[in-house]
Amino acid sequence: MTEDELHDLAPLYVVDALDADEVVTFEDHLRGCTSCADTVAELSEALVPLSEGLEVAPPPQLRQRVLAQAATSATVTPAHRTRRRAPVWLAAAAAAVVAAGGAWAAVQWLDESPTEQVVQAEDAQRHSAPTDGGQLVVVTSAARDRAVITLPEVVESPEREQVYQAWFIGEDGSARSAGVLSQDALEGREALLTGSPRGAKAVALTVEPAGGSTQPTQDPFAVVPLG
Amino acid sequence: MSKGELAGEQGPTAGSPAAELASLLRAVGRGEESALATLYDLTSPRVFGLALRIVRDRGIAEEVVQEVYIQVWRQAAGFDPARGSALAWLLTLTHRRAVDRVRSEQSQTDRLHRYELLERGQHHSSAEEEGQARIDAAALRAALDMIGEPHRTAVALAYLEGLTHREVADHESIPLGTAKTRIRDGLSKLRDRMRGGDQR
Ligand SMILES: [Zn+2]
Repeated sequence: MTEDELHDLAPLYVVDALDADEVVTFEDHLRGCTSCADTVAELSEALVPLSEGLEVAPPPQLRQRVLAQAATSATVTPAHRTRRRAPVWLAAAAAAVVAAGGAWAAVQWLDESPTEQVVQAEDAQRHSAPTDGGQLVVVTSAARDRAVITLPEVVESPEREQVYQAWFIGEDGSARSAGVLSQDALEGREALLTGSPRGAKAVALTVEPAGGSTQPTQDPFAVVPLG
Repeated sequence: MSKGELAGEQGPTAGSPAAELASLLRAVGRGEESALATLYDLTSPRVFGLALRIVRDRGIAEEVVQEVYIQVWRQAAGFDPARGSALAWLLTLTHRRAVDRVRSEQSQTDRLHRYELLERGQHHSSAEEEGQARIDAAALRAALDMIGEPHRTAVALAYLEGLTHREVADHESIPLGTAKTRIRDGLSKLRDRMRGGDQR
């Protein structure tokens, strides 16, 4: 698709009239295109009157359900805030998008957080392995080119001066760091792994010294085969 | 348009409803549950109404509302009022969720058929729906009528029925390129109208 053809998708994206694969293509473009970010913001604003007058009061029980669910789910807040922190990796991933595209304006209009984009991708594949504390799950999406790890319900914190580090393991047994699991990731139980899962045959977790290692220094304590 | 201009033109005036929603969203972003409750009270009829208009099923529309506010709860910290209004953001999330549900649960034929019935005013299965359809006919049609045909139908099929641009082309028996152009031009007209002084 040419640059102009990509720009032309913006209005269709705003009314959700693109096919799923076109959405992926356009969002990749949107992250780096400030012109489309402006178009999406403007047109989203212009659509507001179309739902004016459609108001219907939802049933009272729904309010209770929403607030009850909110009370038990994490918010994605910047790392310096202490309350109800979500994985720092989410914030880091968002920051990476800003640095890469310079278009935080676009990110606001993307449909999901990076983690949710992976988990809810059309081609999302779920891989899991049993552990003492429950299932360790890795969700990969080739279209998103990312993987998300979901930790078991019971996760022992690493010892002092130690961290858990994730690795993409290649066919030849080579290890590529997929990032250190922060304390916040451990609490939130979910994290976007660093880098692409392409070519990886498994995701492994090891115990490493604080700050992480460039190559694993110990045998993995958990391995999730991919595929 | 530069970021500065966007903020200057559309940044909410202090004390306005838009500013109130924006500051509520910021509080939600700080994890304040009471702010989420207030935001819900102020906006849920609009969110539920749009979801219901698209999915036409109270149960599914309720699920959409729940998903939207949980997403808001989780992501409000990333919201920047200088880059768009809180209401536009909420409605964007709502529309996406509702359209996803419609696409996964209703066949294209059903949706097209439904649109035809609506246009002829025959889709009234309950008193409530009938009342709602009358409201559609007033405020909504006023907004849509600003667009003018043939763009009006293309925008309505996409935005209110959740059709893809391919489905719009099929429905209208027009080439795909024409369907895209009609949606694009329809939205441009809507935007120009808003800029032209219809803003409050
Ligand atoms: Zn563009």
